[in-house]
Amino acid sequence: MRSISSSPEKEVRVRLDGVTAEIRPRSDWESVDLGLAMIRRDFWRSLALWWLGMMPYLLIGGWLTSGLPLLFLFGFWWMKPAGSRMVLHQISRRLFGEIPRWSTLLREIPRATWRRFFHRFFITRLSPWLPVTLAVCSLEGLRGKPYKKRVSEISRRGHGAMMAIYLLADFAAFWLGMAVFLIAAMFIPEGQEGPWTDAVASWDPEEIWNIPPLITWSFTASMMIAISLVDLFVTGAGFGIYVNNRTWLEGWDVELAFRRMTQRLTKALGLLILLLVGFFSSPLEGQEVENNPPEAADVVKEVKEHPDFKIHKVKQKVPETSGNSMPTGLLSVMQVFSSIIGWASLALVIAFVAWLIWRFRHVLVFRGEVQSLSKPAARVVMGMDITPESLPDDIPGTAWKWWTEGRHQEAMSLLYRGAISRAVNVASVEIEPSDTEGDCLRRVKEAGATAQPAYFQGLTNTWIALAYGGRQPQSDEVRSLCQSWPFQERRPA
Amino acid sequence: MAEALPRLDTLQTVELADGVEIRLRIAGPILRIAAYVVDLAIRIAALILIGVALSLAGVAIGENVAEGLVLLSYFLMDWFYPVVFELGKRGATPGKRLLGLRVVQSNGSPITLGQSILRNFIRFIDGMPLFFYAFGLSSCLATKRFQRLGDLAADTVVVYDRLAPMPVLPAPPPMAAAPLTMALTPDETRSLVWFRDRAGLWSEARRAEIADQAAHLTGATGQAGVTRLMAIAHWVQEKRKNH
Repeated sequence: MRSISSSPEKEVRVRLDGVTAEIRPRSDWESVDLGLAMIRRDFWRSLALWWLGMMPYLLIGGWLTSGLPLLFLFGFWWMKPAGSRMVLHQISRRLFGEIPRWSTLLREIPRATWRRFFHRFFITRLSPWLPVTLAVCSLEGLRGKPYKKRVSEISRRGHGAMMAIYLLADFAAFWLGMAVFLIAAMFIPEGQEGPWTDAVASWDPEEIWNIPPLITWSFTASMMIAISLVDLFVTGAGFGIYVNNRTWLEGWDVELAFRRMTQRLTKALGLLILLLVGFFSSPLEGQEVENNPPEAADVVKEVKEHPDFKIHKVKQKVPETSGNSMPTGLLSVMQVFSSIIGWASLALVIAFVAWLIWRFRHVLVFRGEVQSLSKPAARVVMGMDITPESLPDDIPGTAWKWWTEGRHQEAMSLLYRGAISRAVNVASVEIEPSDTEGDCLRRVKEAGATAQPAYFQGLTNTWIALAYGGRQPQSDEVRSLCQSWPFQERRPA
Repeated sequence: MAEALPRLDTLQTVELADGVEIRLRIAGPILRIAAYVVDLAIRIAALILIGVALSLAGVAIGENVAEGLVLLSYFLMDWFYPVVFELGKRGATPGKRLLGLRVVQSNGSPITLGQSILRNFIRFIDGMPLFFYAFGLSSCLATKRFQRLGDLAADTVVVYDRLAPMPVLPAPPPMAAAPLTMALTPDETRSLVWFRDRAGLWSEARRAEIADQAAHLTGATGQAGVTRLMAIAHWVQEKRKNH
């Protein structure tokens, strides 16, 4: 717990420990987005609270303006800060990790309207900063001079965003109101449009201002829904700006980082003593990145110079149309002129389409199943050439000859390489160039009996033991591997 | 308990291959609406120009042909304007570019032709009812990554492309440098640097309050703690390279 205050009388306590949104210094629009996300998190609760906050107006204003829907709508729009105040109460507490109980929230309802009534609904009602100053007023509870000082501090950042929101909000509400109206109209059940068509029919074009009550009331209701939705998010956006500005102004993120650091350090106290000794003069991680950029820039330049990165341009020359007869009058000049424009626009369209095709030609190249079916067999596996041409005709015979000559490694290598080659080229096992011994064995096993998995298993074991373990196989073992070679060989006669 | 819950954030962390993490700065609906309005103005202007040119040309190529071409260009402009621009190098229509936005896949890579077509053809549904965009706006506000229906279908997001410079106001340079006596994580080191770079924005009392939180590191509180922390930050920024 700590306090931030501008006036000694009133203190606002902010508990940063349980904060439920990432506190970091943001750009203005990002902080607006965070505010929108806060509303999204508590959407239904906030919406309900907004309407609860408007209850006093709905009751009193509804009674005062009975029979005058448009006046009622205007009053509703004017009084909307009462709803905002309730929403702010909810999302600000939620930000600091507290979910306010309904009983406390209900007690806030009259306050949302009556507390600082004159200030909120007359002095600051039309200010673009209202969503932000509402937080200063309601959360920090400041008045008079400290309030003004605080507002001028808080409103140092985010002018552009607040102004844009201020100018957009009511237009957006109107726009959304029309959408709500239309959506509602879409949901009128078939056969029930009677009252509606009657109302439209009774709307006399001579007396355009004498709108039938059904139309006015449905318009008013749509607008009220839209105003509530827009104001909900505007309140969130204002609160987002408020939180961001305080983060900048008071270094919330730095404080949080220090706090977490202290927690970590005290937790790791035992380990710390060891680290103290070891790390005293050694460089720490991070911060070294700055050394790289010049090097990286060179690499980027080099890569960009490659012909693949050259920008291709298609230029299409438009052949000039040579008229058969010389234009004589102004009319024929016009004709030639306009026909040039006509052909030029046609050519432009063609050039554009050609450019599109050229630009996205990679999309048109057919890729997919067909290609993978006819994929050629691998030629090199694990860095070993496995094409039949690279192997002797009689693999086991040659291998055994080499073994008896003492070229053990080469003999086993030939045997293994040969087995893979035969598996690929005779038994059509699909082996990728990047496969390891284990992958090869698995693929051979999956391929079935023609690929001789049992023989392959034994050979692989012996090969791995030699290649990686350095264990020489017994001569008997090698001989049996050579003799039991399962593939057909063209032995020299 | 609150620590266990993921904290609300506008940045989305995406883990790429090899454990590399990038953060996407997801953009919200308000700037996107502004970008849409700019694009709409550009499209209308272009259509007017094409219309004038073709009606002049109509004398030569025939009125019906000209009318057909106008309709064709209207159709192309309506459906393919965003598709083509978003496939470009900047991944943005002119309006988005103006406002510093860009369309990317949800893993941060540039979008493909299919995604561009999908996200922009579903605009038709996002625009409902009629052209009021209520569906798209609702979807945008309801999803974590501010995605409209087209974005959801194509798995794309709109992100901020330009970083606004962060306003910093460093405190006066400290007299001494003090080496770090404890191993810090990169995040903690960064917060030290932030402290020094932004201290000029804070009041003296506030600086002391923040520095008190790091008393474990500095071994001092109040003004002495601030001075000590500045010295450490100075060492971290300037002197460590020489060690």
